[in-house]
Amino acid sequence: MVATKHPLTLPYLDKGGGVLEAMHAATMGNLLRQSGQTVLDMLSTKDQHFVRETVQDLILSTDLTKRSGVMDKFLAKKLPPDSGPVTSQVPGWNMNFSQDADRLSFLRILLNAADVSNPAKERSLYLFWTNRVLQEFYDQGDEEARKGLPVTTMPCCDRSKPAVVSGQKGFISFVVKPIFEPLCDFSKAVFESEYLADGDNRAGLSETIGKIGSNFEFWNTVRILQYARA
Amino acid sequence: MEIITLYVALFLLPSHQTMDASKALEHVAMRLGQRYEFFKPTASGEKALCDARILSRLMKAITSSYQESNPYHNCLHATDVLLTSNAYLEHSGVLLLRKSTGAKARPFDWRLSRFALMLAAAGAQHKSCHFIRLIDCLIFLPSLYFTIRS
Repeated sequence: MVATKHPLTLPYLDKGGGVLEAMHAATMGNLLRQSGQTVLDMLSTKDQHFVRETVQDLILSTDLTKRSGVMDKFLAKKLPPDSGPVTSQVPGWNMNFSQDADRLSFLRILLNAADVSNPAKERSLYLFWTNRVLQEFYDQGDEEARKGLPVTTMPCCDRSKPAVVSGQKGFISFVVKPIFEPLCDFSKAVFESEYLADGDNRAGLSETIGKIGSNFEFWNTVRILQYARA
Repeated sequence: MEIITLYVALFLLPSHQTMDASKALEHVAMRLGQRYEFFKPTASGEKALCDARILSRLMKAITSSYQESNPYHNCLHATDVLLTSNAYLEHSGVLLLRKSTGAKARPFDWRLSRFALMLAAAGAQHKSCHFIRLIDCLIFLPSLYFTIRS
């Protein structure tokens, strides 16, 4: 739609980011501002404003073009190894959850991780979602071809040239791991905090990293996987 | 509880019920609302955040905005992101942090942030990215404004 300059994309083209995410954020903002009964009615004016702003910020943070900026802001909270003794709620991280900005920074990472979390799930769930997303990519490629448009290559939408293995390995290496590794590091540090409630000693999010590794290795065992049109 | 167990547990229904995909988002949002006490005052005296009926209506409206014909970017995927983001929040440990050390230290108040996360995850980000069908999706959106009104 952006390539064809469809009129529906125009209000969002000047936002400096993803058209789709800008549209979604605006839509959700409008939904939360409705007159009549809304899901925010029971909140104070201040809290309504906070929820609206947070929802829109979180939606916009899932824009792929903004993801590196979101990651950079989060990683900037990580203290260098030679920073010496620093009073922090989370060892090694300058994160203070009394502050809205720090809380929001964490939630952005969390939502982005959930958004690309298929390889961090059990194999059966991962393949269930992978099959669905591939089918949608190929449907998109078919329609692009019918319209005489170039078929999208990133991700691969051409069902005649399936690149499932390399596509999934690249997705895990360049999208999934760069989000989950710092998130899991952070979670591990949380469970080492002296500010943690007594008696809690869980594994945090570490199991997700194990599943990501296992699912990456799985693709090394797959020689050819073709999605022929049914 | 492992993440996957929590993921499944939030999907669980009473044995006599079944659920189709079109009800998944509403079902999970309502389960989360009950689990996190969004619909009633908390034991520590905080007010309810929202009316369960209004949240249910909003989730129905959001569900309607997804393109069921999309294999991936549909309401089931939105439900997955809603579940997963909340499972990660619980397992990350941040909800267990206290503002200070000591036996009487109080936890941080994540309630509003968690409410916003739920709306963001469910709300609008996972409508179709499908090139052509997105047009239908966008045209449909204005009707949402009326659907969620009482």
